[in-house]
Amino acid sequence: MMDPYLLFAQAFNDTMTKYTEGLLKTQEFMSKNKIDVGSTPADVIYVGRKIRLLHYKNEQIKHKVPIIVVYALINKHYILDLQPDRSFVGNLVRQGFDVYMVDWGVPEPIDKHLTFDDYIGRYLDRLVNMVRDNSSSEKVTLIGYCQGGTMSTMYTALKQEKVANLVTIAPVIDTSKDNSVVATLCKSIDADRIIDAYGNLPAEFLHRFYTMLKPFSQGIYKYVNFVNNIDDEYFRSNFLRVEKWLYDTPAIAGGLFKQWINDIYKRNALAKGEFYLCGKRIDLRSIEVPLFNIVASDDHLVAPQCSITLNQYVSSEDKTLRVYTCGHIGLIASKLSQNVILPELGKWLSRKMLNNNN
Amino acid sequence: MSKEKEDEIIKLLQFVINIPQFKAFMPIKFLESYEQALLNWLRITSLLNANIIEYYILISVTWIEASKRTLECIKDMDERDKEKVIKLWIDVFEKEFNKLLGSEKFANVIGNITNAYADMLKSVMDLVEAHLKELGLPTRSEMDSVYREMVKMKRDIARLSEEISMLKGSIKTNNIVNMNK
Repeated sequence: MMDPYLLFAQAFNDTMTKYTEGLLKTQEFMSKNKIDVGSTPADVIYVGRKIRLLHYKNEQIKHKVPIIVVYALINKHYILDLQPDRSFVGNLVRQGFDVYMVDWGVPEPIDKHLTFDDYIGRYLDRLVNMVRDNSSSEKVTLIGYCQGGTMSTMYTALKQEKVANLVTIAPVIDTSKDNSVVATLCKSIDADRIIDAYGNLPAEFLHRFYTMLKPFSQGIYKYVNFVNNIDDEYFRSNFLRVEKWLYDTPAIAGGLFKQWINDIYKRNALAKGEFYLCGKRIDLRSIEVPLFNIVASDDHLVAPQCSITLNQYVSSEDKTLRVYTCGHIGLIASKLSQNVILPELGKWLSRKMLNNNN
Repeated sequence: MSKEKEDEIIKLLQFVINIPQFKAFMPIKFLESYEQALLNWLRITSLLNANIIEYYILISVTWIEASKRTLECIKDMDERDKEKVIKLWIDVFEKEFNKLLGSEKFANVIGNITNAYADMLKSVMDLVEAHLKELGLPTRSEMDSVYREMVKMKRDIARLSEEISMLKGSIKTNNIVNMNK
């Protein structure tokens, strides 16, 4: 039998040596190689000062109603098209859908006063109109992921006449039911004070916040795992793509961040029907369009119950809730998402579009 | 220097600086506001230090607790199980630290640290603002009001465009109705 102190010390030392090696190798690979993301061919059909709208090429569109994928304002949209065999948008394209995706870009100091009124009422509405014109369709299907799910829900409540179907993936809705570390921290910070000092929420602030979650399994062990699998080219390139995405954190517009913390997390205003967008009260009960709500049972960023409640709030007669055994990212960039979640979503959407004669 | 000592010195400085006879640069407004900003910076730095110490205490206590649990779990293992031990200590530490990260106490400390950082940055900006004013250059707060105005104007333009297109639509409809008459 070995002295447990010595055994632990050796294991700890081995881990930290590999961790350091993994970190250095990651930096080396990242600086020497171009990490390709966003492999599904697309045209950029709109470029604003910050925002871009991507339209994915598809020769075999089977369904007329176009889909707009609305990503969050945290990190970048290309997590939904990270690698060819796990591309969320690529899968939808292969299923015959006409897919667009919003790239929110990077806010600059001049954007510090932008709020949800601007992101949803102005920008998203402009993009929805553009897609309607481009596709000659009266309505669009919105697919929102995480904060993008919250934004898509708000937009649907505001401009329901332009939305055929609402699909939400891990949306932040009822924060009184969110006991995740993220929610606890969000509820304890003073957003007004932070924004007063910084203008926009700095990217490094957000990055540190997220790396603090799962500090050992994600923060340390993933680099050990990287060293252990460094010769496996498939593993290595996937790992580096995710690393690129994790470090690609834009700032968040100050005004919007204050609303996100104060209204959504602290006051739970969206669930309570006390959230105002462009001067109008957002009442989730006013939503009547078909809803497909996708939730992860092991989500450590948005507690499942926080998203699940959306189905209780909306008045849609046609509403579906699916809870999958995976984590937050697993919902959109995993084998499960490719083999189970997206085919199920595709079937649901096809049925809706068929019923609507589209 | 202990926190108590720092507080004492700051209090003393604040007292001294407010005695009119001791105001070294009374006639110069810029230096007066500079003095205030510097004092504020000192106060915030001391507060930040106190919170950072509390943060590291929480981390250390959790680390010790996690180490104890790991040792308890590996007491029957030997060198051949090293890979298992690595996975085990990562797992035990993750659980212990997740408990800490999800606690209200930790959230409060993080909240206090971010507030203190923000206040510190703000106090530095106050110093810069004082300099810029003195040099007759646009300050951050002045630029800020321009940004605010711009966003308001953009919103107004968007609203007006929407109203114009609605009006155009209704004029078109009226024309069709009139033509049919």
